[in-house]
Amino acid sequence: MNAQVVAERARERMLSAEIAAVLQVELASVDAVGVTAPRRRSAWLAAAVVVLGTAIACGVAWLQQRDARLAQEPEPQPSSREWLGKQPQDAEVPPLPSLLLSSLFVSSVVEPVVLPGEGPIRGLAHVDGLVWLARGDALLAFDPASGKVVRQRSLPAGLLGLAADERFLYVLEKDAVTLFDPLALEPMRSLPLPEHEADGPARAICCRGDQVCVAFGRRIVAIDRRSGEVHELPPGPTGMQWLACDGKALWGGEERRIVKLADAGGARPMEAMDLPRTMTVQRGAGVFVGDQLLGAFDFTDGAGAPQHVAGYVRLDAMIAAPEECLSIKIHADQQGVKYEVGPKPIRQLARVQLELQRIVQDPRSMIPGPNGKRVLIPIVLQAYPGVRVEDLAAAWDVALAVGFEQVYCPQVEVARRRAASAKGK
Amino acid sequence: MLSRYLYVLGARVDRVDDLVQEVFVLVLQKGFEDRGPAAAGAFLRGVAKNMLLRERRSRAARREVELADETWRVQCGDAGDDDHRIEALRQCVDGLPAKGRDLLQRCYGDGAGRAALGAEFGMVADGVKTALRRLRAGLRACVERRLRGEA
Repeated sequence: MNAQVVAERARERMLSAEIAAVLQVELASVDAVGVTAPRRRSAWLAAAVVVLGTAIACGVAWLQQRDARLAQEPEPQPSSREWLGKQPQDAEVPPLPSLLLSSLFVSSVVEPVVLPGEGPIRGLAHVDGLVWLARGDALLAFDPASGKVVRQRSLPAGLLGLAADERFLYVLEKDAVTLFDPLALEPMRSLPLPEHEADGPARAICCRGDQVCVAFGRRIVAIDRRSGEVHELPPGPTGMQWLACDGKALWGGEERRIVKLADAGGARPMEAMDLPRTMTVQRGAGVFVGDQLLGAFDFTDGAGAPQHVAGYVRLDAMIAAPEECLSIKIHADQQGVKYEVGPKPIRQLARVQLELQRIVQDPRSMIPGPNGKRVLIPIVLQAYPGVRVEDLAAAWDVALAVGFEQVYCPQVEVARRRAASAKGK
Repeated sequence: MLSRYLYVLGARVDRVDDLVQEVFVLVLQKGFEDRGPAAAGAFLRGVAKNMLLRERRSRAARREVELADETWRVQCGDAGDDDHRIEALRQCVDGLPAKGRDLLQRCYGDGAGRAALGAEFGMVADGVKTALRRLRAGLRACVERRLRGEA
C-alpha cells in the first residue's frame, strides 16, 4: 500500500484515539463510526485473485529454479595459505596483477555501465530493487538491470550523500540525516549528527542494518536509526569520499583506493584495492547491488583531464594490504632464494626465523589494533618472478611459527579469488 | 497511551486491550529497569510494536506497521508521548461551537446512529457523515496549529 495512504490512515486513527481520550469513551465507540469510504468488496476479490495467481506463478518458478540454485551454492573457500598448499610446489608463484605495477585502463577495475542523468555524482543508494542516483540537480531512480529511469525529482537541498535501508532513503546533510519515504518522496524525520567540528564535515553515508554510518574525515560513527544512539567505529583512511555496505562490512572510497574497512571486533583488518595510477578520483559514490559494488567516479586522468566512469567494481582485484606492515620480499637468483625482511637481506630461511623472533620481541612491533588493543604488526609477503610456491610457503610457515598471526600475500590472495571465481563460472 | 499507540499502528480495536495486557505481562516476566517515564514509554512502545509485528505475517503488513510507527514518531516528537496532543485537542474541542461539540458527544460518546443524529440536528444521514468529516478535519488542523504555537 502507498506510504502516503498508510500515513494518512495512521493520522486518522491517531485523531480517533485522541477523541476517545478527550471524550473519555472506549476506543471501540470511536472506531465504530466510519467517516471514510469502506473498501469495496470487489477490490478485495480482485486483489485476492492477483495474489493467488502470483503465488502460484512464484511457486512454479521456485520449483523450476531450485535445482539450479542448489548447484550454485558457494562452497566454503580455503584461506590463502591452505590454497597455496594445494598448488604444485615447484611451480612459480603467480605474479602480482599488473594493475598494481603499472598504469592501466580504468576498465581493469570497473565493468562500465552508463548511468542516467547529467552532472557530478553526489550519491548512490539501493532500495526495493531500484538504484537511486543523486546526480547534478536531480534525484533519479532507475532499474539496475535495464537502466530505465522510473522516477525523477529535484535534488533535496543541501544533499551531501545518499543511502538507503530496506524502506527509507537517507539524505546526508550538514548537521543531520533526513529520512525520506521513497514512494512519497517526502521527508519523514531527521536524525541529528553528533558533534564533528574537530573531525571535519560529514562526507559519506551508508546503512548497515538498523544503523546509519556516517564518515567525518577518518572518523566513522554508526547512529542507531531508532534511538539515535551513536557508536564509534574503527577509523577509516583519510580522504574518504563515500561509504557502502555489503550487508556486513563497510567499504569506502578514497582518491586512489577502494578499501574494505576494519570491523569493530578487530577480526578483520583494513584491506585495499589500488585504482590504476592514472586515476585520481575527485568525487565518487558506491552502493552494493546484491553482492556487486556499483561505483560512479568523477576522476582526473594521467593528463589531468576530467573524466567519468561508472560500473561494477571488479572486487576480485582486491588485495589484502594492511596499512602498517612488515614486508618480506622474496627473490630468486642464481645463488638461490634471497629474503628481504624489511630492509635486511638474508639468504637462509633459518636466519629469517631468527630475525623474525627478534622482531617479535621488539616492543616497537606492537601496533594499535582496530579495537584499541596492541597487536603484532602484520606481515606482507611478496614473491618476485622465479620464486617457487614451496619457497613462499616455507617463509609463510616460518612467520606463523614465530607467532605472527596476520600473514598476507596479495598475489596469492588475488590468484585464489580468481581461481574461485573461475570455478564458480 | 499504549492502547492509543497500538491502535494507531493498526491493531484491531478488539485486540488492543489484549495486546496491552500481553505487553505488561511480558515486561513483568522479563524484568524492567525504571529509567524514568520517557524511557519506560519508549520501552513499552517497542515491546508493543514487536508484539504487533509478530502477528503480521506479510512483509507489506509489517511495513504498514513500521510506517505507522514513523507517523507516530513524527506526530509525537522525540518524547514519543501524545499527552500534549490530547491537551491540545481538549482545548480545540472546548473551542468548538455548541452544535459541533454536541454532535461529537452524541456520535462518539453516546453512540447515536446517523439517522437519529440527522433527526436531532436537522440533517440527512449523509449530511451527518459530511459534518463529522469536516469536524474531524477542523480538529486536526486546530491541533496542529496549537502544537505549532499558534492559538
